[in-house]
Amino acid sequence: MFSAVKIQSTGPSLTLQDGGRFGYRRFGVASAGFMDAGSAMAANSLLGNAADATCLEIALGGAVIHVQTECWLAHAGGLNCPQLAAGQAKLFSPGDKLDFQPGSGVWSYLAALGGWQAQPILGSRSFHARSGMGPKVEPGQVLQVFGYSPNNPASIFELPEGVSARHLPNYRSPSAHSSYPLQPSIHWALIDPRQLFTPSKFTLLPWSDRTGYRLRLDGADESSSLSAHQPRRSPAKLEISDHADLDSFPVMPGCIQVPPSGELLVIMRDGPTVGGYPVVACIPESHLASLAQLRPNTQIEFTPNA
Amino acid sequence: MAQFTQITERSVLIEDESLATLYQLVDQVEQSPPDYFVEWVMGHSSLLLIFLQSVEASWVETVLMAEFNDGLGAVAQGGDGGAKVVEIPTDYEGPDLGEIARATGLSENEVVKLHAAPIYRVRFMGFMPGFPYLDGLDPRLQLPRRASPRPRVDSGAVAIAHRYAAIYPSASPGGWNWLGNTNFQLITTELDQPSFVLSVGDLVRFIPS
Repeated sequence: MFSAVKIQSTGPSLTLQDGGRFGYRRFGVASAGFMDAGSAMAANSLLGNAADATCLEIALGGAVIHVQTECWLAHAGGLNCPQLAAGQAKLFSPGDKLDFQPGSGVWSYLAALGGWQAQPILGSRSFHARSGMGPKVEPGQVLQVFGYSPNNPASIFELPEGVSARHLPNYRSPSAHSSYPLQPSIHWALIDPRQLFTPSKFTLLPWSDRTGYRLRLDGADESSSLSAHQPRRSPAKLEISDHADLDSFPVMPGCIQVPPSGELLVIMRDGPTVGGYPVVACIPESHLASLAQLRPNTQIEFTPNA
Repeated sequence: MAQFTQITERSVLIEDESLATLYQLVDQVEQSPPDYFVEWVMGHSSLLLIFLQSVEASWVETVLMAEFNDGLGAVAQGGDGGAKVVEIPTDYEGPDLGEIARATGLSENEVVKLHAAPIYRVRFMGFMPGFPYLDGLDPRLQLPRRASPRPRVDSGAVAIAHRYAAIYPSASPGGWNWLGNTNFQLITTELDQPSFVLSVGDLVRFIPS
């Protein structure tokens, strides 16, 4: 057993994540897992790891990582790292340092050849902050990798040419991701769909995190905020007491809840397993990763899912 | 009649007022899971089925209802006979006991009696890992959540809100009315792995200690 890297500072959020924890939602256990699975898989593929191997998920910049032992690392995602550009894998030596700075997206993934070592809990190494489930990474902590030994050159292999370009999601043209398809969900009837679709625009609010992303209808104030309404009392806004009366039902990442504030709350990976707010629509899972990478205050619009 | 609705592309919500119907569907998907089935999650009067890939609600309905009719007889015979009753020793010294008595117009003793009388059923779980929403709370004890949530409610807190009773499996911020405490462990750990003592359908009794 030997060390690989030391987490000098975590920045706003640095956690271990993998494909997620499944099979326990009935007990109230959220799946957690990669916010941007495409990037995480890209980082893993650069090293020949399993696509859902554990990565370090780094948010927003500020994380500093010191390399203590020779190791192969790969980076993919929306942050800038001067020592290891997104889409690259490199052999690092003791004393090397990686720092992650704000970039065009929000989440970056650092994969290690062999995968990061940590105790899986209920079949996953993903950390879920709200419940404390999963292995936690703290400043000063030393992380080890599986399988790679510097004395075993057989475990180092040549990276296939062109792999980075093929696997790197593009975050450099935000306009390409600013429109999201919406699919009606169980409380679709409580809302006037015209409020949701173009030309309506929504702004991603800064207090968005692994639990949920909050969107505000642009131009909305107290009187015109998007409000679910009861068909019989159209177009009155649903009162909080009415919300409280909704029987709790299971929800999933991608579900769009409308809390009494009239904002849209998109449930993300660490989100609750059951909820009592109306779920008017959902964002297809294939688009959740690109939504996750949007920086706060980005403007988006919705289109009907074809 | 069970209502099947798409909630996300790979999950379908089944709503039905009849618990027996929902439980039978759970039995059914556990015993003969449909193609691509991953897991189920229970709500108050709903059941979510999650699949590995996109499914149509109508396909799920067709597959499940075809078998459902065949199984009806078995459930009618089964009843509640198989559910275990878990006893939760409770001290009834929670910080909100006085407030609950004031708000309900009952004495503290009456609150304890009413809370300890029923056999509750785990209707669904959520909010945090292992947190049971227990059905069966006396209507006289049904109160809204506290106006301002506590920053910390202890592990083992026995609490009530709306129509549910509950037990906090671990410490957490929380807004439920806290009426007692138990040493009973809802989450046990063996070889570093947690396991949940209660699951949906189990029966629970509070024993004043």
